[in-house]
Amino acid sequence: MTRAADARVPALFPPWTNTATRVALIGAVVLGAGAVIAPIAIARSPYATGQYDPVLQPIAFDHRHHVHDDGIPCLYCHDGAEKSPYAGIPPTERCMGCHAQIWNDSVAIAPLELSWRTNTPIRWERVHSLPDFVYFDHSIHIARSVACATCHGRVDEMAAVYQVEPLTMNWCLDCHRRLAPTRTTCSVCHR
Amino acid sequence: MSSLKLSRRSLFKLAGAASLAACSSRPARQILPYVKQPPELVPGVAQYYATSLVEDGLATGVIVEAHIGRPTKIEGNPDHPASLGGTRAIEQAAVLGLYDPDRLQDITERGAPASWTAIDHALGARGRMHVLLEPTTSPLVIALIERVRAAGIGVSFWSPFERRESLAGNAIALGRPLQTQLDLGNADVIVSLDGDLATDLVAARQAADRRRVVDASSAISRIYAIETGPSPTGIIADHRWAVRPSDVARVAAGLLRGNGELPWIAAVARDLKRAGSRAVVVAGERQPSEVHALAAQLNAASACVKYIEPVVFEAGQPSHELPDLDGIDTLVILGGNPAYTAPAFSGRIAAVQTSIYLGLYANETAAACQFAVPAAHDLERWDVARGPDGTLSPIQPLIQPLFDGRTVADMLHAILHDRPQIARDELAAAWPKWSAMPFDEALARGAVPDTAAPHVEVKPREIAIVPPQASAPIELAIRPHPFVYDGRYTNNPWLLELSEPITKLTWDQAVQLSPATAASLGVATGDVIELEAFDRAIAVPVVIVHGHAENAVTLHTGFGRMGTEAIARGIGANAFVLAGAHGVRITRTSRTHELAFTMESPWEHGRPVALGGTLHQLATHDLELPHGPEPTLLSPMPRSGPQWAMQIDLTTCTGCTACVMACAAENNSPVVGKQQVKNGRDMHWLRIDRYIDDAGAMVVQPMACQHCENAPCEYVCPVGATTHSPEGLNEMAYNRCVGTRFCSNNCPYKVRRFNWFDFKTHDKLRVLGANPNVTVRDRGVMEKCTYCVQRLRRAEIDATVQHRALAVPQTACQQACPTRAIAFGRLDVEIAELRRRPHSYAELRDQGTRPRTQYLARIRNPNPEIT
Repeated sequence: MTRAADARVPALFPPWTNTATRVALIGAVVLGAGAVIAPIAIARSPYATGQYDPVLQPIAFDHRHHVHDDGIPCLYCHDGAEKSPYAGIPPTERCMGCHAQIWNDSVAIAPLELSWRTNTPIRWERVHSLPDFVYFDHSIHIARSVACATCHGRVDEMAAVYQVEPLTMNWCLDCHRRLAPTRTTCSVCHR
Repeated sequence: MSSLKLSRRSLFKLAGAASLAACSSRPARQILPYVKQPPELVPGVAQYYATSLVEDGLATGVIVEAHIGRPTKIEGNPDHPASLGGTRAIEQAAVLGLYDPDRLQDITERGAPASWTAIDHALGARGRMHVLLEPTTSPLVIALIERVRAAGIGVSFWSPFERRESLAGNAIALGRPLQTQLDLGNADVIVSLDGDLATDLVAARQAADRRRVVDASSAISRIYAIETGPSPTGIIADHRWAVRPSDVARVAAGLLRGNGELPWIAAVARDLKRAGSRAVVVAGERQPSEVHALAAQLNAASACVKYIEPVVFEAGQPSHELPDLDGIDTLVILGGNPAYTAPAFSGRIAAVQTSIYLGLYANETAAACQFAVPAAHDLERWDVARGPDGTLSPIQPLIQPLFDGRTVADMLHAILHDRPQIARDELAAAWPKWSAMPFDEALARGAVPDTAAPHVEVKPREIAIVPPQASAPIELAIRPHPFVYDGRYTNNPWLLELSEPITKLTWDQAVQLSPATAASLGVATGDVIELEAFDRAIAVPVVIVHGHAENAVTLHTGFGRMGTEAIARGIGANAFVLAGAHGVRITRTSRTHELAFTMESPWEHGRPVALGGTLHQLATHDLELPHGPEPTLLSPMPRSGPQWAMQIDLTTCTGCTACVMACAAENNSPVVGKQQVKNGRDMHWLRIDRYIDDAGAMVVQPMACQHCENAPCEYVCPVGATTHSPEGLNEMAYNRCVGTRFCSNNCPYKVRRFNWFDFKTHDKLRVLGANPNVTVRDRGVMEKCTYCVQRLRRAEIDATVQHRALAVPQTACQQACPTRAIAFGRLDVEIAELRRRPHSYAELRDQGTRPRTQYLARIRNPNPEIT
């Protein structure tokens, strides 16, 4: 065989395969990175954190009305926030403090009446939910002058309450690193 | 109809949509607030109530922690004279006893469901009735008993390990069956004749308070222990001699004479004489009355012994014998388990026409009786009892009875056909009869001060007491198990998994014998032998115990349970079968039994870790203890905030294991079962290492995470799950842990625990006892002591919220410790002075770990006359 004869052999791969290889290589890198980044991004997305997702409650409780029209401060109902890890949901008794007198025949608060008469708790849907291995404490944050709205947003402007902040560990640490630098060790929240 | 027809395709579409909807971003969780919130309760804030736990009628004051109405943790009540803030493992485990799913839940007749009407009917039947109770101190119950007796009904009391011999001994020596009250606060010399200075919380504290070594000039007491098998009392003693049970009486007689067959008796007698009124002889309750009489004579000049009228109702009187039941038509047994603790009695129960049993479990006695009624747990009932010194101690419920349990008072009322009353009101109405303190104040304190029984001035009579000469080739000592006691706590998995202080055995019963006796019998640990007395035999595996008396065996009660309790059933054999026997005949069998020890070899193999010496060595600087930080190339960890540290005093540690139980209860430690303990996978964060030193003495050393400043575990964690906090805590973030176990392999103290399986409880009832402030760990996660970080964080938060200085919290182990051997606090404040003491040392200092937990070496005060 001569060299000239060799040169006439058709190329094994057509020219477009060069492009295909480049695309495949870049695609593999993109896919690989995506496999890592996508779950991270999804975990931080409102879809996973439940941000901006108004929660339907057994009673259509409107914070706008109670805060603005009636001028009730947050801690009147959520009084655990000052002294307990949990802000707490008010007992039926506290609602009845007013609603035994006003709007007591309203259909909207019929479930409240039912709870009171049958001594059955109202099953409120949780809006802000932290994992069980996180030991968040409301009282220390209130004592350190963190306002309710810092984490919960303008609940007074919400018809149905939704979560404004992502409540991810990263979000917690944003504040803790800035404002309480010594309080970033693991056992502050995990124990 | 056709419109409802669903094609296969659309079904899958719908199913797909439904499953997508189901896997929404987060699980929906609900909050159920109270309808009427109790004014004293804030959800999320623990509540603490003072109450009492009762055993054989005697109250131990406790403080119970409750979270929204469910008790989760028990601590000793510092204001109660029977606790002084300490607890035994038994009190710590009582929470799990409350949430025991095996508890008797319904009234039954021969195992089939029955109603209270049937009980009422049975109690109303004519004929002679007899009531058998556990020993009681409750003035409420005593008043009812007197009414029951007035109605012509016989009443008697029974518990296998109540004080009997000591009262009989005092009757011999003092003329009256008085109760001995020890006051060891001023005791310079203590001679224990098979006595118990460890599980008696008050004696343990008082003895320990006289043994806190500050430096070589500390005048500490001297303790001699004469006992058959090693015990926590022998562990803290300066001198310990192992003698056969029958020899204890001869030693006591020798001490009284001033000489004896054994060379050391004269020296001990001289030491007793020298100490004068500050010497005391403590006789154990399992010793015969003669030993107690001799002890009373030996204590004639002692200021450390007082006598009081027995606190238990009619103690020492004939009513504290089991009744023979001749001609009895109806038998009512209120508590206890006599069919098990007195096996011959079950036959007598069966002969009675109608029998009713009130108890926590469907146990042997329930099986022997016609009716069984669920009893209320101590944490579920109203009552009042007296502490061992007579202090009035109210009992208040922490929770509504889980299974509609009834109390002894309820049953006595039913016998008397009284109209039902509200228990609290009944108690409150009767309260002024017993105490001037308002009822509510007494409830809040848990004990009424100044209600202790007055001391009786009495002098021992000068009569010759002949020690009993009963002797056998192989003698038998039957002892209550330190945790499951007479079998009443055997269904508590926490107590079964707790390592027995001497043998380190879990989940089992074994007969203890000395290496020489075992060799002469040709048996080794794990071989099953048959013990025979009175033509009755039981088969029990052997455990060889160094320091046990020759030609004697020690056997624990509480096993061989045959009731319906799922956990207790099938473990070991009933030692009460042999009760009353002085000696046993031992036959080897060809069988062996697997035993699960948490620690096998007692030897330190030439590398001592539990260090100690004598007071003399401390004075002459003859003690070489690893002290001060080892040089390091590593940069120091950043420090800020309180620097937490712990110091454990090995001189006062008795190895009673209350701390281990407290740790497990506080930190939601799971139970792993016998096989996993055998595999070395027990999950207790704190363990008590038990060694035998060069002198042959047993030494114990509590060992938990040392919170090293240069922690070997931290360097090797690939995911940063274990890190160092600026306060010096070595932290574990469970949800970061991937379970490589590198940290555990690199830990020189071997204090890390790995969840090899899903060990946590899934029982709906048992989980109620979990501490809500500690994560329940899952499979594949490493865990270890956190210095009770949940309590540290709570204290920090409380201090900030309430604008006050930090109140240093107690760790669970420290709080439970009856002898206050564990100190915890800030390195530069609470712990600073302890660290400077000459006998403070760091464990494995040569590893350069700079541990935050350090030890005070065990200092003995031996009698120079005895070599």
